[in-house]
Amino acid sequence: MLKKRLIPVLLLRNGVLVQSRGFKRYQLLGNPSAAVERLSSWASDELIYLDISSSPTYDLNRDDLNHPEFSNIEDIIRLIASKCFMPLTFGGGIRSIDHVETRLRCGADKVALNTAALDDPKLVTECARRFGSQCVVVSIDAKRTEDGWQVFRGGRTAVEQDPVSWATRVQELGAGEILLNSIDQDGSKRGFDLPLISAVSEAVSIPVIGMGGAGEWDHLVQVLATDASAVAVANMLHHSENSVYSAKEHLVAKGCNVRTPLPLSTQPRNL
Amino acid sequence: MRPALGIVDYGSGNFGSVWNAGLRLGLSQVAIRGPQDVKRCSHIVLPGVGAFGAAMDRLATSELDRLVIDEARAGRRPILGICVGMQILADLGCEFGSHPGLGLITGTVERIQVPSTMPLPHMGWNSVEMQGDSPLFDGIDGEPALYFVHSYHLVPTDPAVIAATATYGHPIVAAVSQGSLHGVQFHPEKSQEHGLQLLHNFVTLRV
Repeated sequence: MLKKRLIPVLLLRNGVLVQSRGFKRYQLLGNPSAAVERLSSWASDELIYLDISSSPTYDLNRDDLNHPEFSNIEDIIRLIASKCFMPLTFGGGIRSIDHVETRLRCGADKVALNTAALDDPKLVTECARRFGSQCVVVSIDAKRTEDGWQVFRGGRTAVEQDPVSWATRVQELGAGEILLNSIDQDGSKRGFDLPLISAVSEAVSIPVIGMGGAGEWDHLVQVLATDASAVAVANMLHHSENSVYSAKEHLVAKGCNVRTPLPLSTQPRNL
Repeated sequence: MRPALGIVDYGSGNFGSVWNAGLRLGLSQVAIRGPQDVKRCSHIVLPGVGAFGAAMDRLATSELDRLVIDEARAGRRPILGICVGMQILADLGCEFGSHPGLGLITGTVERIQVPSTMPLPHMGWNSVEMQGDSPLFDGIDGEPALYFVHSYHLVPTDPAVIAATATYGHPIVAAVSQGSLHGVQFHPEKSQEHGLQLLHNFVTLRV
């Protein structure tokens, strides 16, 4: 039986890991690699790493720390891939098929396209033909309107698309998966936009990952009760011990169809 | 003797992931690019992603197809095919036309038949049921969930070689074992502790 997934998301902004609220405010968390090992715990099913940098410079601006410095995205992906024994999706700043190829070559298993898919829908098809649908995730940022939702480009500019028809369209174009984020709920801790997640996941046959708004573990249970295949969590997993494991244990206890994590004492172990 | 893992380097997309998994297990490793490299390893992994025909073409272009066939026939070193690396052990692949495989396991590779509501590729963590007692699964109990990404599956002529199955609409062959030759449809290099355990089990196999 195919399991539903719990996916930690890391947001990288100009070389620094951040938490995001409403796509507007960013709280600094620190080094891009430190959290990877923590979130690559055996309880995670996948890892999504999104580069939301406003410019293509990567500098932690902390030469005093004994951490490796990164000046380019390739090195960051290589480092994450070497610690990530589960599927790794990389998104952000991808505008061309060459960008896609670079990220896959550095160790990403999938890429997430957002702005590029809106600007150049052919790119979705090109990537699917060349690398297979399984590695093309289309990420959709949606915001509530009076009578439904609207897709936003770069989190800021409204696009003449509603997320349900855009999701249906990218499925036809060859997308293998949809990462669906709610701008309203992002960083709010008030729970996910469940009607949005239900509407999109009922409209397409490819897997939908619901994101944005986790404030308690029961919010994740609510997402997995819809047709969504996975739930993504970012902010909530930081600043606490063994958070992915606690989340997973909660999902198992609530009867969700997820992979059971090994007891905490055994993970990650050396064989 | 300390095991040395040889990974066939023919441009397969998951070469790096398998290499990283071997590093995590602390293995000494060799990238197999020619006959001289094989002499330095005790176990061989044949990785693979993408289409059957393309994988066979790349293997032939690198002149490594003959080498894998000779090694499998000689039976001196255990061999593990991963995903498409397992599929090309078969006689024939039916993805984008018919393509001959390495002919080491009698059988064909066919598109998975699922109801239209179930998406292909079959992608994600799927529970696996072991058949028989393949040493590949030592220490992995119950029905572990392992990571799959594929639209085609191996249909062996002799069901006795099936070491594990997964259910996605219908039963799918998840692992095969035939003497020193093994194959897994899932990606142990992306299946966390169970995957690493399986790779660990593989490198401790003796012929």
